[in-house]
Amino acid sequence: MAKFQSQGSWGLPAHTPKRTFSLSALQSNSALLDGDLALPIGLGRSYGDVGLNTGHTVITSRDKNHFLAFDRENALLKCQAGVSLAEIQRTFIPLGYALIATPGTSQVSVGGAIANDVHGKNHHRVSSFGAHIEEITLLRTSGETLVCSREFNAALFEATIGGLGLTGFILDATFRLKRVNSAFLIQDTLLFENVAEFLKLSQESEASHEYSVAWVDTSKRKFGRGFLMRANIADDGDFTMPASKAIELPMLPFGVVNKVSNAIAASAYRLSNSKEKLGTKVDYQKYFYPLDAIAHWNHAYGPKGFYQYQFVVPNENAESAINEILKLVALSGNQSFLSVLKTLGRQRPAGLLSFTRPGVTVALDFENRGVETLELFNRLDKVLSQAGGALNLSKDARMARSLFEQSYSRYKEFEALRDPGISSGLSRRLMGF
Amino acid sequence: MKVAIVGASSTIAEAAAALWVALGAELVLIGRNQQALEIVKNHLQIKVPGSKIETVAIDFAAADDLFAALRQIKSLDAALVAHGELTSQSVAQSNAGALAHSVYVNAASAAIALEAFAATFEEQTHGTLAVIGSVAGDRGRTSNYAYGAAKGFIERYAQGLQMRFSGSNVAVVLFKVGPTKTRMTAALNQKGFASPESVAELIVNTISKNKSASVYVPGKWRLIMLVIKALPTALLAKLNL
Repeated sequence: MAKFQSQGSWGLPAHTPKRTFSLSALQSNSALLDGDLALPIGLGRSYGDVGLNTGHTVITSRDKNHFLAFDRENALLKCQAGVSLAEIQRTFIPLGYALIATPGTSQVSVGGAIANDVHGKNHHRVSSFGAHIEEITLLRTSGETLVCSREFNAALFEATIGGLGLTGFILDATFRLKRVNSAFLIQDTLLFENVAEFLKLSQESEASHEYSVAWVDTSKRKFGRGFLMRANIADDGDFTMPASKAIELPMLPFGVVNKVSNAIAASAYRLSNSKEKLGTKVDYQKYFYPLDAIAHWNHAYGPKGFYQYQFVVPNENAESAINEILKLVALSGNQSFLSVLKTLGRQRPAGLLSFTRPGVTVALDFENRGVETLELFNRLDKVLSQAGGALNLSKDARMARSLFEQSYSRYKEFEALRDPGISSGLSRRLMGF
Repeated sequence: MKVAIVGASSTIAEAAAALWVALGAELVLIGRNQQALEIVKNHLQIKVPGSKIETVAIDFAAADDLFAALRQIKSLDAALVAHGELTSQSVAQSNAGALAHSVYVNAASAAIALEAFAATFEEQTHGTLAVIGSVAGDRGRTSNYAYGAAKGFIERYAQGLQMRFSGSNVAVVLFKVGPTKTRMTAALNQKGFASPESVAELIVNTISKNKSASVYVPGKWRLIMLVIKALPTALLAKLNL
């Protein structure tokens, strides 16, 4: 018999669930779990242990991948939890509709996008993915199926958005799309020299552009400089779809991401964006999902995997806290190649455990160098904690429980709404079960 | 173009159906579970608004009914027999009912479906008849010979049909599919398995050629199975594949 797949984490090395069942199998037989703790998983793109259930059962939504209904008039889509965002964009953009909020990869499931309440480059305008959900059908381990919305089972609805899969198995969801008149965006690339300049540029851009995101340098000499890419969806009726084929990166015996390659890659990336460019027409795939062009780009980090450290700090402390953190990273020599900077909107978080909140978010990727990397994170946590910031749970694999409780103030409300038959690596680490 | 698909809610069949509707084909989706067929139909019609799709739910266990129901479907350009169940080897060894069921579903009912469409295509004097076999059918192996033997039967059956229709306008295509990420294999380690989309693409492209063929999907399995078939039994048994 073949070994069970290690699945459910994009960053961490292999972890193995005891067994895997499909969501359809569980739906037709709720006794299947036989008392074991289960965890719903989607396409496995969360970075840390939120999608891991080592030694227990995982329930994959992969075969729940159907569109159920589409109301063109109201742009309302109902689909099963395992449908990928890539499939939604590929299907609906040619028909003149697109996702309102989308993260930086389209290789996530609708269930995962809800459970992690993901956000995108237009958070400042439209809030997170969860803000556009009208209804969720939830299967609890008791066998009960509950329809949740802002009207019915409202508490469970709010807990399920950003609820890390811990409130039940999402069977399907109904959410709004928006109308678009192009598969392209018109992008400006603008340079900044430091965090203060970024904040100013970002604020200006948000007034004129729906989408805005920046890349920041973390090298010792140049940390804080970077470039901002802002865009609006074109209005040219051009629905030429980009090719959907990705290059597959095989798992390498050792990581190719290290101090040297990081420095070279960062310089090359910076160099290729060293000139301000205004009004460039780019396809949606290139702007929203640049890394989807390489399937399994995580393999570049080798078998030890990598960590993503994504945090948000309130606006009033943003400049000082981000400078402090970038400085600590630069001094440690742990350069992050993929370093993303974005200001978030002031909307009320959609879920009880939503990461997004008013402030500025920074995402940094680090190769896993064991203790050295973890100690750096502990130093960063101190700055973050003092600044009143929070770490993104869907990226985290190591934060202390105290930081979680401090930064996710509604966690007690959330815990009361959990499904007692569901647990994950993350929930055991941060909530005790 | 009008295509009938047996086992239409299976992962590979569904991926093929999605490609066909995108090409403007009319589909007849055949399966055991009406509700599952409706979900697929609905999904495809949302993807390609206005596409013509029929569903036919049949009790596969009743051989005569299965044959008669499939014979009702007329004016077809192609038929894909894609249904099947993965048999647990250990269960088949100790549970006679499960073994008989596996042979019926994977071998006998597939042959019945093939004969029904063969008769229709013979009447029409044209059509492409396709069936999904498996690399597991190439050689009996310790880990999966209950399933493999049934899939081996399909290969012989397809060979016979290819002979029967040689020189006519009816084409018979056998797909020997390697491990694929499907619902059938959801509980296995799917590392290295082919994507259902890539498998479906090869199936749809091959069927569009209207020529009899036996094809490994993905193509790399031709070489792998050449080696596996050439290995001495004693060695293969030791490898415990």
